[in-house]
Amino acid sequence: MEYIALGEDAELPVEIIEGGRRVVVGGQTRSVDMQDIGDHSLFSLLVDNSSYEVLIEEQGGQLRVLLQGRLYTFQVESRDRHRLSKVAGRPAAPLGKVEIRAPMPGIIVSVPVTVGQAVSAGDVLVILESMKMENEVRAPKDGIVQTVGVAAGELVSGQQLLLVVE
Amino acid sequence: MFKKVLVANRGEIAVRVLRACKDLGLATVAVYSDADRGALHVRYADEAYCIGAAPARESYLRMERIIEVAKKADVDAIHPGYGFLGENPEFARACEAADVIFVGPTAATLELVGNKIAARRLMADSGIPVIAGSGEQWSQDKGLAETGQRIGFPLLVKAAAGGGGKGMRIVRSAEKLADAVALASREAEASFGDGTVYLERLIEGVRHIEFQIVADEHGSAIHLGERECSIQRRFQKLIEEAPSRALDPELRERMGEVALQVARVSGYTNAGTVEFLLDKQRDFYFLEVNPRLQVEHPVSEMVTGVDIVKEQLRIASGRKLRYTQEDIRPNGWAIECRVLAEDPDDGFVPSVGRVGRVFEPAGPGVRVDSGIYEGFEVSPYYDSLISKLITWGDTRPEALVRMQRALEEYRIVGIKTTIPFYQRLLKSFRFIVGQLDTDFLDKACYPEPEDEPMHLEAAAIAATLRFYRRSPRPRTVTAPSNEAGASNWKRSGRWRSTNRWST
Repeated sequence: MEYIALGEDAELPVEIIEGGRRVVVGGQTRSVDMQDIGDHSLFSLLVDNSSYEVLIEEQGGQLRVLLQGRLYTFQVESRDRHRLSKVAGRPAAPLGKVEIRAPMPGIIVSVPVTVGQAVSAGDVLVILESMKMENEVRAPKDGIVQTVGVAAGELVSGQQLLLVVE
Repeated sequence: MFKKVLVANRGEIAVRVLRACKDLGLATVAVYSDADRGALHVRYADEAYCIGAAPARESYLRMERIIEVAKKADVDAIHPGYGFLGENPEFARACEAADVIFVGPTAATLELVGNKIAARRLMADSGIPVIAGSGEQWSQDKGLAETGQRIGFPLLVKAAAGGGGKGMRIVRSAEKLADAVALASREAEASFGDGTVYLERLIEGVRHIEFQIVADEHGSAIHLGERECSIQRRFQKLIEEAPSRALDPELRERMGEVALQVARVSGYTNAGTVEFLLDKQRDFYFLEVNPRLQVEHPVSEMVTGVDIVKEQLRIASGRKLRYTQEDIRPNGWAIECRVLAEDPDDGFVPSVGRVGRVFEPAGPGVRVDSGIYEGFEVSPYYDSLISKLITWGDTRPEALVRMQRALEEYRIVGIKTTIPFYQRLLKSFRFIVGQLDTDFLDKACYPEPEDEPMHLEAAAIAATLRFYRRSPRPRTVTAPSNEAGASNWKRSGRWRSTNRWST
């Protein structure tokens, strides 16, 4: 299987062969062995005989890889898909209905908008307190507030729906 | 000595105090909120009492409820830790009224040093150097603008009852002053219930140097040397070390003397910290007294060998200091990194949730003061400090290399932490040579470590393998050329949709 790992400023083709026991990268074939050592997030990785520990997390469709204190962010695509997306271009700003969700668990401090209110991209929709810090949740696009599902003082879980903007 | 002590706190500091109690052979009592039933301090104490709901003002800040538990459990003393009721004179007084010893200075001292304006005036009157305009307020006849002009810009607006960077604003020009004062006052009112603010000249490029003092109730006081806490983000300390590169024995002795003078004039007893700013001309200024156990106390413990919490308990029970100033001979170097549940790669936003796995560093010269464990739920109700990593070495470079090793060994899975941030920061040239000042992070002058090409490749391999394993794999493919495209489309779609709302 051929993949492209798209980094911040690098595009690395990685081919996985022999059912994941070897990879071809940079013209070299290397044996690889990646073992889960913690909660499907922490892995021990052997590349030939070099030993690494990597913490991998998925976030917003990207893979965040933490290796020796350095964060590498990749979008991995199959080579075919990569070719297509290059032709199609990247999707622009979100269209239509946008569900605004809590970026983290916390306590709602205030909701400075009401249903029916017009908002512009960047406007503060909700102020959420977590660990004694206030965090502003902002509108990703222009639109009208359709529904507001939370009120000040309420405890919300991560990813809980806060409001809808259309 | 006491027989039984209540620890009125949570998290790593509650655990730290419980350990000292156990080392002294004392029985222990923990208090906890609904959110902390499973917390370490509840598990480590001999007895535990629920004191209310998760928000601090409904539990850890409820004086009358904590006193009630103290009476019921029949304890001799209450150790408040830092934060919450740590330096609250009203609480100290409530303890006294209930015939329970408050482990800390007297209520009168807490009141005196708690008001920064009064404290600075007292120090200035005692001939202790304070910063220009320190404690300066304004009145009707001597307007705000005029006062600001006289002190000069840039200046700081600070809360009289302040701490932890709350109610604090930097003002660089006269026209911004009124707004900054209003904002700081509102923040101070919200945080401390007292909106009084004052002005002070801002000196940039200074070091934050503080002295640990310990005083008994029989008139003896010593200092345990200095700590440097110049690495701060938004007035919050992140990395501390002891001793400081900036002090030589002569300056150390002079500053230590002044620290003890501060202790004397404020009638200080028990453990505390005297904070100073040290400028490039090696002039130092009194900043404030922190009348409590400090977050960063372990670095002093590591170089002096004194268990500060044990000393606090001994002193509070009426005993004499076990040490004279001559007994304190700091040895080697210690560094502390505060591990916060925040994402350094996303503007330090809080990261809460379940801690999946923890691998703590160990080996020579490593100490971990932690409040978390595998399966622990980091809640949004409290401070983001979850653990402190401290390393010791014969020399600063040895302590530093050990810190780098320990940070790399420290794995916390499930929440994001500031560990990778420290790994990068500690590689910066300026940190390595000890050229520190309080603007270190604001200047963003520490370079990103250079990319190791092998690391980039290993990271790309890891990401690709992860993606490959998570994707539904084509089983026995009879016509690979036909199916590859279709299944890839489906796979990408599914991958996107399952990941959209995950953290």
